[in-house]
Amino acid sequence: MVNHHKRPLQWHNHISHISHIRLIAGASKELTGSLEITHKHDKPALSVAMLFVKLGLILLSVLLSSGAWAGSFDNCKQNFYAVTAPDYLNQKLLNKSMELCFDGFATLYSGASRTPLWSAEHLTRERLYQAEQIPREDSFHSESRLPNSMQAQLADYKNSGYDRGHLAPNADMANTSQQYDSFSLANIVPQDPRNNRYSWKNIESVTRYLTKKHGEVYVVTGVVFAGKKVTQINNRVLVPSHMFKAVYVPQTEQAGVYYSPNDDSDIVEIISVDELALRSGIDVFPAISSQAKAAAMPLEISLGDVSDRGDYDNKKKADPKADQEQPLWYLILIEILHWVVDNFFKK
Amino acid sequence: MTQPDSAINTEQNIEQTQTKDPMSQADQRIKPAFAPYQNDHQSLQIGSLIFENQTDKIIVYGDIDIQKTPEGLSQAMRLQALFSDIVSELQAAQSTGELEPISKSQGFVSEQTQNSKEVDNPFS
Repeated sequence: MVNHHKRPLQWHNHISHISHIRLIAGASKELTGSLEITHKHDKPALSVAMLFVKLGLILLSVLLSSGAWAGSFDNCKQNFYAVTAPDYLNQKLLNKSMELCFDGFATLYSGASRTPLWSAEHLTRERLYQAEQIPREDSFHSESRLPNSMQAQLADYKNSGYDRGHLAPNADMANTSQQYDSFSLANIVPQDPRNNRYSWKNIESVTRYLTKKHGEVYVVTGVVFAGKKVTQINNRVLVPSHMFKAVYVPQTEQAGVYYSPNDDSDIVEIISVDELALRSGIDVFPAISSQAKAAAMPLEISLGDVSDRGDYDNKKKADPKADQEQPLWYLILIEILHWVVDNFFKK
Repeated sequence: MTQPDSAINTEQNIEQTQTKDPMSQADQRIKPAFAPYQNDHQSLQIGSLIFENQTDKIIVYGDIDIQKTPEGLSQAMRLQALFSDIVSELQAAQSTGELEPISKSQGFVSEQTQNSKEVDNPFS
């Protein structure tokens, strides 16, 4: 029950028997506690009346807490920019969905696909420096907070031809508890092996580089199921057609999204948060400005494309002002050169 | 199919929630050494090199700079020990005739041996 209270789960549509049992078990625990108090301090008649009042209050609180919109991300809203969780243009995404708080990230899980739809993280320079200090040894495991019917199991992935791809990556996790949580199958999707091991790994590295450069970054990593038909493995888990990683950099007030088909094509597009909303049905950063949503910030696809990455390796702290200005003036120079070439050399 | 798994999960869940002290919780999570081919769940990272355990294969991807430093030496020794374990397992399998005669997979993309089918998209 401690675990349950620490990381409450939330139903959008369906309330399962298991959830009911857990809630009632929690309530009866409170009830026992209150009974003890009334026996000690009150006369029998009064204590019976008090018991009914308390029972009523408990029932009310159970009803309220099982209501669909009670906000189960309450304990992990720090993972969202301006403590605002993603919003949905496509309400079908919420069918059989559950909000899960993990140590180090927050996840919207779908029982319809038996995968997460997205995981959100707030990355800071300090968190990543901490993350570099811990050994990385862990185990994939099914998510025990989900009802059995919704859980993905290790067997679903075995011999499926797909990798177990993290949404919130292991390497972002700053301690063993966060690391353990990142190996929950509620943070894992069937990902094309080449995509997982190459493009996506690089994108994760660039995101950490961005965090070290700008001090903090908000990230929402998710999946899209596009088209009328989707692939299902082991008659249970749906394979996403696309992967995305949206980043928002508070320092520059810019956002951008990596968008990649879940295949071996190595294709990675950079799109805006608005464009992602059209493609995925999810507004990943509802609280950022409309300008930041409309324009995709330039994003490198691999660390090899980043010119100043050495400055952020080995805990070197660089002057953030210089970092911002150099690319800008470089871009202006390129623009001027383009203009000169277009106007004077293309006759 | 899901029944035995869920029973295990519940046990784990109880085990984890019984202690609130972060240290003892960390102790419970002391990881058994990476046992090649013995399970489908272990993951290990050395540098940016990732090892994932399966009963029929070890998946290895990523990269590592093994520096000429004490850390580099430590990483090299861990890799040596790990590969030594992998070789021992494979030799043991060979001696008992358990080695698959030919690799089923072409290149690094795994073969698809389990059921996979097209279904209606529940989100469209």
